[in-house]
Amino acid sequence: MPGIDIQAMWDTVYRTDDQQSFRNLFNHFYTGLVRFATDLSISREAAEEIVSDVFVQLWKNRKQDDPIVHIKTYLFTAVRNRCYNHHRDQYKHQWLELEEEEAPLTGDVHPQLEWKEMQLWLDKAIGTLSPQGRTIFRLVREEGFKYKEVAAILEISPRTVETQLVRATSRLRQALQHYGHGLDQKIPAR
Amino acid sequence: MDSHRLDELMTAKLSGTLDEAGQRELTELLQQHPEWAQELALLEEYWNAVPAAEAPAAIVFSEMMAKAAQPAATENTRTLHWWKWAAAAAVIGLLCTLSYRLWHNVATGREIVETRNGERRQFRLSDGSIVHMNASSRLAFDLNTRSREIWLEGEAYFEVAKDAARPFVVHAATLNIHALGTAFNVKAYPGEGRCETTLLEGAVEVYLDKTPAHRVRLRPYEKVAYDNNNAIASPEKILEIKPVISKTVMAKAVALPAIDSTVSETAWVSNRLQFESLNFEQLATLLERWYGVQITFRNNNVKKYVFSGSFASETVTQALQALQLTEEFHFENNGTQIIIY
Repeated sequence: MPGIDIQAMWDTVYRTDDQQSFRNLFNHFYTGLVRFATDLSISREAAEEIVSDVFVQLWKNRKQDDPIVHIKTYLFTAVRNRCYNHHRDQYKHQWLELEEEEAPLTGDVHPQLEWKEMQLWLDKAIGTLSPQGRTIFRLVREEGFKYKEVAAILEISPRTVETQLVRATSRLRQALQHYGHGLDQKIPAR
Repeated sequence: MDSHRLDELMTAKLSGTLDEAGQRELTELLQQHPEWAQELALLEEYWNAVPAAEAPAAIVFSEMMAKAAQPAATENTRTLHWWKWAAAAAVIGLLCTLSYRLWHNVATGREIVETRNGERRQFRLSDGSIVHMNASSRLAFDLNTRSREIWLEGEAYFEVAKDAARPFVVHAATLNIHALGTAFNVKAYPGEGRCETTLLEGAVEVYLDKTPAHRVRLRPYEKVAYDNNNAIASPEKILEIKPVISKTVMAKAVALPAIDSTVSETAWVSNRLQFESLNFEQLATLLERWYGVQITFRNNNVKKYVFSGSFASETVTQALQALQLTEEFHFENNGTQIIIY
């Protein structure tokens, strides 16, 4: 979100301990971060707790010697690290190492659908991507991260980010084509 | 045609990483295959229509802060002399006063966002509403527990998050737009002597500073324009409602997206500069804002040419070259300075 100057908001928190700015920061990122954490296949409850803990640490350590240069990347990276730790403690595995599995896309399509319904249809297509693909797609589209930033947050190569995004586009186009023809069919997974 | 290559180009286009060579390749492909162009248009629409994330309930923040306030160290059980207590109380009192002042300033202070010439921005407010700001605009906002107020100079498109308890009001010049869960565009550049608002979704009420009782209610695809020079006329005449697309188009359009690119008032939100029957001088003002350039005319006859059209990914040079196809004129481009003759 390039508009509101998030970094300036954080700098205010850092310099003046302003709780209202901290609240704005929290409200701004909370939902997106919880969603990101659930994308990393964590339960909703655990995700909320992890995001909360990240902000607790942020508030407690706001007077650290090294100021945080990029607060947004910091938050997503911190959430991601905690999610991985959570997995390590709970299940001893990480989803990024899982074989990618894409579910087939199913559902009823009517020839005349409203824009909103088409949006849902496309959301659904994104939902059928692999967890990694879905997460990458959302970080770029909804959070406005650059490829390199996504790569840094998830500790993968920028090339993987690009490949996954291209796959998402391909999925979306397939979904559009099925949608356009009003077919009640499955989109085959590739 | 390699379908994978098309996916790559479209992905780069969507994420804003397409370079010039890629853009040329894509444009060529789309010209040959209008069905792909249609797909891409829908995908762009989808890409840009990011659902507004709702801010969490207030309690979520309070609970987190409570957790943060829990003491990490063990308590100090030494007894304190009375004067130490007194000193501590005085310090606490002083701190309270100071922090109240700080808090108060922060609470009443409006947050401000500005865009330069050639710059467009999209962002989400803390209430979940989405704002698209057009170039050289200034927005001040004050979102508190009772109301959501926005002051605008320039142009912005609002997708308002529903919250019946907190009315969303945009103040632009002397015009006020009162909304409840809706999408609308407001244009009020200083110096243009004109202010207009166009409704795409939901409902808004529009009223002037001096006649708050006279409210005009807009329905989707209607717009109201207020002309400063006309300020003495009756409010009925000043706030005249005009449809922005014809009834037949509306009847045909089964699926109108939230940001409708067929409406020229809001085309800029989808990164398209669209204009209808503007003379070159008026169009130059738009181009200046859009591309962040300065345009001067050396030939007054040229100013009178009238153009209609739209630009999306063209550079300013490409745009002017396209205009040269309809009317005869010359131009020099020195980077940020353009001379037309």
